[in-house]
Amino acid sequence: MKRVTWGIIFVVAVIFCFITVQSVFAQTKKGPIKIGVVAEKTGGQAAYGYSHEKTIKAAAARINKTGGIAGRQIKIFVEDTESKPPVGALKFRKLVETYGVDFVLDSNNSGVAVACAPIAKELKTPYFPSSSATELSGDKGNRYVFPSCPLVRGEAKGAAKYAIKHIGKKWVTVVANYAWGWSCEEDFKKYFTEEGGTVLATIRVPMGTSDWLPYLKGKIPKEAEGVFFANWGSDFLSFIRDLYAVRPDIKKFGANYALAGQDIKKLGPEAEGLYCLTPYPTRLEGLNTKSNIAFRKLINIDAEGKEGGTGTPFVLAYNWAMWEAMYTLKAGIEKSGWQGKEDTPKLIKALEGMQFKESIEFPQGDNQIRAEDHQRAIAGLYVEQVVKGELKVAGKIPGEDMVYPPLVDYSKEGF
Amino acid sequence: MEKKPFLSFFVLSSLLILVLLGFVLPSGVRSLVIQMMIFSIFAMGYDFSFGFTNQCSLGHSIFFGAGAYGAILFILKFKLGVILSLVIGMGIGFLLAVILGLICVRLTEAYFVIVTAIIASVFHLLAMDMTWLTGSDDGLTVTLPTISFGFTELSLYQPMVNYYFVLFFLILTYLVLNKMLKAPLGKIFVSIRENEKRTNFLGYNVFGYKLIAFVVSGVFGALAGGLYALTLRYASADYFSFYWSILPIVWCLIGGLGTLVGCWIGVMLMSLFQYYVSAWFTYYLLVFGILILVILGVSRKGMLGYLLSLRSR
Amino acid sequence: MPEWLTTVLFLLVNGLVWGLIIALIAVGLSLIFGVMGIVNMAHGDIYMIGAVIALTLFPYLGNFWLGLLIVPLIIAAVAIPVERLVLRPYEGHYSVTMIATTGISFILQQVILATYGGIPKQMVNPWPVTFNLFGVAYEGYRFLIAAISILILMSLWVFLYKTSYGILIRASIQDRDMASAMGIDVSRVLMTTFVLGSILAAVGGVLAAPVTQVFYLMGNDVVLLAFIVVIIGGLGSLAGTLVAALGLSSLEGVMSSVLTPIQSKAGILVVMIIILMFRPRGLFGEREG
Repeated sequence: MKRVTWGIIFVVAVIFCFITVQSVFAQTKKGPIKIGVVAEKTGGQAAYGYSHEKTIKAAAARINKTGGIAGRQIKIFVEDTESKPPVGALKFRKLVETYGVDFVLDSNNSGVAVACAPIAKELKTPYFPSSSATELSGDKGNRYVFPSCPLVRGEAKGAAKYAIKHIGKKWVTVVANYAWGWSCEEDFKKYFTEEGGTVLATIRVPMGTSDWLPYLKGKIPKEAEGVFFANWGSDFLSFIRDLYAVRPDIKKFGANYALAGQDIKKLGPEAEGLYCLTPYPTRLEGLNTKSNIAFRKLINIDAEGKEGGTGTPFVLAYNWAMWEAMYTLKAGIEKSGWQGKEDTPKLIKALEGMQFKESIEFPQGDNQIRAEDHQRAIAGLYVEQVVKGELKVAGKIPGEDMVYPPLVDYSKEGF
Repeated sequence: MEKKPFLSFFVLSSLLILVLLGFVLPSGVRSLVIQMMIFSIFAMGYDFSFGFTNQCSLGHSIFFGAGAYGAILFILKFKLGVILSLVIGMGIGFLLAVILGLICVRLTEAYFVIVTAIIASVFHLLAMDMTWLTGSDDGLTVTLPTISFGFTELSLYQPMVNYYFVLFFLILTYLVLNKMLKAPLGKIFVSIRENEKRTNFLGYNVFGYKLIAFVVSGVFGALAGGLYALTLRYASADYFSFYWSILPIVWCLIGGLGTLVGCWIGVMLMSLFQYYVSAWFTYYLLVFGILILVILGVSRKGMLGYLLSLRSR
Repeated sequence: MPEWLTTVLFLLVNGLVWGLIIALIAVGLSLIFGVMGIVNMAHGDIYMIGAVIALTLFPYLGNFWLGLLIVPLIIAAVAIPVERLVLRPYEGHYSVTMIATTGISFILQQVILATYGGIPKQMVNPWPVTFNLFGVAYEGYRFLIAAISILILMSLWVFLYKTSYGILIRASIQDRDMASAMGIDVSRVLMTTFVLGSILAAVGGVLAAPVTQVFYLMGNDVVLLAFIVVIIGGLGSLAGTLVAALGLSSLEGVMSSVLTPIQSKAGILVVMIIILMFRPRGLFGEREG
């Protein structure tokens, strides 16, 4: 029996030697700049992770072809968060501790981003999430976190302004029953009321509900003109189907994500006239600039927003933010002269307040990083609308409509 | 019994290796090993109930989550110390286990399995809903205060401190559970596992003993949850999900049911698996599912159990 | 009629329609549980696969109803070897079957994720007619689901209670050793039951596909509810399962008119615990679990 025990111990020792060598090797090697990605490759948000990974890799390939960052090539390491915050947090650590990455990008899942934020600080690794949780530029963020996309509060503020001006004064909100949904509901209500409108009812529906009739029937007051909703994926499909059965006349305005990855043509009459918020138009005609045409070509999506080759709708909600994050990093590194981990504070200071111009690197438009809370002030939002089964841009929300006072001041924070 | 020396040898050598490794491991591997130690505590507690009294609960995520939130909330809201919060987390686990045990332990095997699963899922739903308390899916992050021992201050943010802190609890758990099993209590457990009716006829309060096993396993599940939350400095409603109820079963089954420490092998395999295989094969759960079937096909008692049974032939 | 009354009535009817689909799935689960002693954690995934196959085949078949007929055949072809080769050794040992079927569940989910993808898809409504039900433009298709489910359940009842083979199955639920001792080919009965149970779940999936979203994780919620129904109804009792399915769905529907969704779900749990307190084997439980 001793032999068996020794056998087991031997195998374990070999495995650990292997792991040790690999991680030590990873840390001592200098040369390429290592960037980690915590993406949702499986789980409820698998479609987002797929889109983000592809976009980030495309950016890395392009940067490497043109000489890399400050002359150094980029190496990308992708780990799966499984759409679960604890797994995401673990993978974040793994990327930094085992692979020795210098920076981490992504997660669309607000739970993952919020869980990783303190780890970013602990391990002194700048983090660029693609989640829109307002708290990432608030009490849950820190000086190492740079949220790369518009946050819920800003989106809701812009949406409220647009809604009351163009759609109606009496509204109802229907949101998915988790943190993101609640944020959308509370912020929309706050800003909508400030603008002079009324939110007559707030409805929360658990994710994964296939039958929304019990939640909608009898709960929407007759006077309600519009419904602001925050859900996505299969929830969105069930929602519009059942809403149509209960109130076919009501106007619908969706928060970001609602249409991400959906095939508009298959939505049917229940989606007709629906408005949706998006920082990036699904169809090329919504943003027909040279930069955008080039960007879309590089990530291989067609004019309708479908992936070239497979024809499946590509999730375009925030992948552009990851593309821009890569170039943000490049700009920051080259400006601050970052060479290694010791220079990170320099890099962070350089990024705070940095401004970027519309270009192929920043196809969404001009933007800048606000120094106090690291929030990205972008060029504005688009309001897309389903008209006769096709997505058209119905209006734009200017960037100033989204701005709200910062909740924190990171410049007072140490490193 | 030939089993004993082998198991003790296995335990001693493993613990010795763990103590030594703490000094030499690079940080990535160290995090992984800390995680494995925490899971081993969870698994041992679970084996105590499943392996020794045949109570296959599918609701242990309740204890894991309760321990995690107990530790985090008491540090966050009441500003208590690390160890005190951990103990409170265990206390909450204890209370929940008693209540749950009173409802479920008397149910027959199949009902027990399913009812514990259902109750756990409702806990999960409630945790997701009560954001004010749990932060729901986004969870709660905490900054850990240092632990003061009067003569010195220790911070869990130091990886070495974190490592030996967890190792300490692993050893403690093993000693406590092993002691309980060596006592007459343990013998009665085995007797219940082998033939519950007969044990009952012999006059033993089977329900009471099963309840004890269940509650103890719940307490250590809570300890594991608390340590996990402290190590990650984070707790989320996800800790109540079904995934955390299934994992202990898998660990114990792969490693060896009813051996108390066989599950360490299960934990190790599963953790390494998830850590490495998920990097180069996204659908590693597929391989994992096949692995489960293969192991069950070889032996229902798990790997260590299989080895042991080979020995006694 | 006052608004609240129409709402309650609507929710009641809607609940019953869903209850029938849940009944199909739960009855399958109960059979597998009662006859074979398998806690089938993968039951929800069979439901999911039924929906996925129907969705995938639809462009080739052009007809939803054809899919409804073909899916059972495919499921049967897969279920037979799985039962025989994988599950047979563990039958009767609840905990082991639970773990084994969890393994199967992982495999099924990941295979579908890898092939069909992670984006939920919608199935075209095969009967796009609407009726005005208490002020809601209710899909006629949902009534059709109800009708088909009732038809299937009735045929099942006839099969189990009026045919000799059905009696064999029920005998095996009551006491397997005795049945075997009386010369019944238990092996065949086991296989038939597993196939039957799986087909019921898969058909439930096909029927549900046009009204829900087809997605690789869609089985998880369904399986939970199915287990609750089986527990409350009582193991081995099909009538109990039916009553529980319809009752719970209607109850949850009505409760959610006044409570929040989470509270309704928690309410169902309280109901379950109360019932178990008084009847530890469920409402109509026969077999020693």
